[in-house]
Amino acid sequence: MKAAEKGIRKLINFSAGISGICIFLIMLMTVWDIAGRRLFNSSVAGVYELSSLGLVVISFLAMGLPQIEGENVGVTMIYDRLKPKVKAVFDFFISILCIALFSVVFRQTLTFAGRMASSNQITPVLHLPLTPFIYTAAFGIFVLIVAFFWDLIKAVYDFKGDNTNVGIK
Amino acid sequence: GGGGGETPEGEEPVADPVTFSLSHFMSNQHPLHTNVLVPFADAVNEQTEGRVTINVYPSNELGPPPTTVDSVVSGAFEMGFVLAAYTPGRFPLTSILEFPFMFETALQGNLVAADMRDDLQKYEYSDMKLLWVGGTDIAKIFINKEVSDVAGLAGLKLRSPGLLYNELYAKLGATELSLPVSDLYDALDRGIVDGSLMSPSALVSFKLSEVTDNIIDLDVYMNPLIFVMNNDAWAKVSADDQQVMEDLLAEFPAVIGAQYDAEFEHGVAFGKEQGINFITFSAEEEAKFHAITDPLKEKWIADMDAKGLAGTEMYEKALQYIEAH
Amino acid sequence: MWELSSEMTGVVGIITLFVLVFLKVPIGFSLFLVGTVGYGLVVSPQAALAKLGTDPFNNVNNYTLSVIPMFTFMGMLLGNTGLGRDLFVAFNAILGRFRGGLAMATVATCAAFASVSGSVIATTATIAPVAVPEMRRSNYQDSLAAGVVAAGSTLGILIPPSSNLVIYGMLTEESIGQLLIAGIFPGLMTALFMIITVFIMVRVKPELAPNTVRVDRAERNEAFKKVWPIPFIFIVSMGGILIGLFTATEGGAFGAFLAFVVSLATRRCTLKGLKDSLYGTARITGMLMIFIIGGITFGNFISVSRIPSFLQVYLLELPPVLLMLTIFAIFFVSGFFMDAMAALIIFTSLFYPIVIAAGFSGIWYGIITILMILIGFLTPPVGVVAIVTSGLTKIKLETVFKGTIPFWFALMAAALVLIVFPGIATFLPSLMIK
Ligand code: NA
Ligand code: NA
Repeated sequence: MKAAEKGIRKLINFSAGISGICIFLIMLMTVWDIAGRRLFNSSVAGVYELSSLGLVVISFLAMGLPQIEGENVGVTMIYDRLKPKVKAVFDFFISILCIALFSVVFRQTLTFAGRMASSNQITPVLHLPLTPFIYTAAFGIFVLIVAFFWDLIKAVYDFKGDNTNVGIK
Repeated sequence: GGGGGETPEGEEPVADPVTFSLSHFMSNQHPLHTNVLVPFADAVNEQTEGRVTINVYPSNELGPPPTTVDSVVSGAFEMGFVLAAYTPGRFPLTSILEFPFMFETALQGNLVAADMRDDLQKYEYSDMKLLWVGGTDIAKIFINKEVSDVAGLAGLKLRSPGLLYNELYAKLGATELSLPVSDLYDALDRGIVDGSLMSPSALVSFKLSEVTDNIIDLDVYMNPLIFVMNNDAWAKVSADDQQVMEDLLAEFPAVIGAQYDAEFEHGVAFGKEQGINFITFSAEEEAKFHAITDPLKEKWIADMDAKGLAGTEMYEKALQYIEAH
Repeated sequence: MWELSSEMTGVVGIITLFVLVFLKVPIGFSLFLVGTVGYGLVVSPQAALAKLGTDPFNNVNNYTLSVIPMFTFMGMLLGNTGLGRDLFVAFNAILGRFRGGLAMATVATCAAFASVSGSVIATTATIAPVAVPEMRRSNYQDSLAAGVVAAGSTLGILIPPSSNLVIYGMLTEESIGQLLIAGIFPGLMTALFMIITVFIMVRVKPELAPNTVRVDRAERNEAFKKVWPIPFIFIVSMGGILIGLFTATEGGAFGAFLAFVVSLATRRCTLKGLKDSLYGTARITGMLMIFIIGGITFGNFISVSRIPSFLQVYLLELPPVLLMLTIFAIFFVSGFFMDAMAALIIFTSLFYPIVIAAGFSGIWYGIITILMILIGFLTPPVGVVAIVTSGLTKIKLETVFKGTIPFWFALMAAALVLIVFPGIATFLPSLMIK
């Protein structure tokens, strides 16, 4: 079990790490573009589309992180009054619900990527195909699903009354 | 589904009544919404005796414009009315309608486009039903620098409306920037771009008159619009009702063409009223401009043919239709 | 067979949303789930299924939103360089000698830090660990110490830069540059109201803040020397937007870059600080994007349910000021149990068309909206900023919530003044149009 936890952590951190690098690169690219335009009257081609596609990479690859950090919260007013075992059952079903929802999202995103691949749609300036970016989004959604499994595992441990194995809040 | 659809009371529909959602990017005040699309939806409902209901959703309520075509194909909604330029690369042959100096008026452009509809359907709309294809009013060059000749366009930052015009800008020595129309007001105001190819109707509809100094008085191109429908949804409509829809759609080219020409006149008059300077190129400069734009067509045809697409065929047909209108 | 009208489906959807949220289903996911199912019922199941695949990608593939990680990164980076502490010391040097001065300095620090941070959470995370221990050392009561930090942090998204104003602008297609600039005066005014609130509180209940602090001259001068990056970055990035050097979206990247250069130049940028800032930014961006995806899907559902046009019929009957007060009351009540981001997204799709139809300015309404959701950040039980403050300071959540109550009135007063004097928000943006 420890190994599974470690693996999930690693995957989510790796994914968020790429997201972080992408944030830095987009910042540099935009500043380079402003400087080029203001000082040398030449701009970087396609900053517009690179920024929005960059946001796709940043956002989707980062989605697992807030989930395992426990930041995607709902209202805990009722939940807080529950007994630990009932809480665990609650968490279990919420995780199942989220896994089910995002599994459909994952599958549909792959279908979407397939459709885009066959439609030859490209970005207006750099003529980049959209498909690889849709696959990146799908990967991010996959990581998010993995993060829900983390919650699921934790709920199972909580139900057994064993809180020592999973070191998250 | 279809909780939004209501059948008229006391009617016993023969076929299963169907309800479609139509998404478009214009506001609910736009003349195309009020004068064309809503009346079309009403007429379809009435003439099919309630068997076909169309709910019109303006202002991108169902999703942003670049996603309209895919949403129609996937069935997220059944009908979409959108600028072809929002899906670059997807309808290469349709971009023949955005050729420089092809049409003199939106009406002419719309009539020609209507003649090309069946061929376009066959060549590049196999995964959807092309209900109608046409275009907006003819675009001129909005520019916030004093320019009196073609050479004056070199070094300027211009917003590009699509793939074809990226090449034009490169030849003019201008820097092209790609941004959506909704950002153009800000970009012109802030000097992020110096200008854009733009329809005069946008002086009113996007308030661009507030941020535009000059307009080069050349009627450069028509921005193609498409009205598409999901194939399965189309198949759910009985043959008779399809004919009802086709008959109503047959009025689109003349109505929309005339509508956009009126918007064009209104935009130009409004622009002049607001003190925008309309720059007229000398005959010599105009010829120079044509000398730059003409090869773009040849290159486009060659590119299409090289890809195995019907470039030459479509161009020749277009010329024929232009002759006819 | 689903027989309800689309409007009733919308109402059932809104109720279901609240039920899910109260059952602890994360808000972004609840919005997404209810939005999808509701859309499926009103339009068609195939339609909803297709949207599940396309919408997450398409809604995030948006140039305007790309500024959100930039605004967040700016604040994260500066927060990690210790600028929060320097600011606090500097303001303390001015205000510390007054009764309640540390709390006033906290508000001022929050306002100043807000001018380089686009996220409420980043602002709280920077200021709380700096200000609360100082106030506790001076025997301030926990309720005041935590309350003022939580309240002050909300300025993070009223004073530009602001991720939430970007989201409002994206939903309404109002000019983001104008929205950001519009937040400056209302933000300063709200900060002033919070300082006045502290002033009144310590007059009425002196035991809240028994001690004052004197900062010696050398320490004060030292502190002032260190805070120059704040006005520098604010003036360059927001001034650049105001005078048109770059767009609001580019201004975010430019500000983040300045923050990076400044932290390198002052030798306070460690590799760990940079890494933490990037991870933190990724985390907040990921969280916000789930909200945005869910919120837009829910908004689509609300659109097709035709509830806004239904509401419009009734609300437009009201005289304009009464309309605004009604909207304000709805925001306030739902702010208790609704997340601020969710309120921003849902109520903007519901009320924006009505407010515009009533003849108000969309820029002004954007600022009003932000002020209204700020109260929701502080009210129990769903008060994200209060919860984060409690987590950071280990002060009991009830105490934090109690401490924020006086500041709800400061925020309400700011909203009311803005309703009476809209020019406070619209004056600066009006300068941007030629
Ligand atoms: Na801010
Ligand atoms: Na609240």
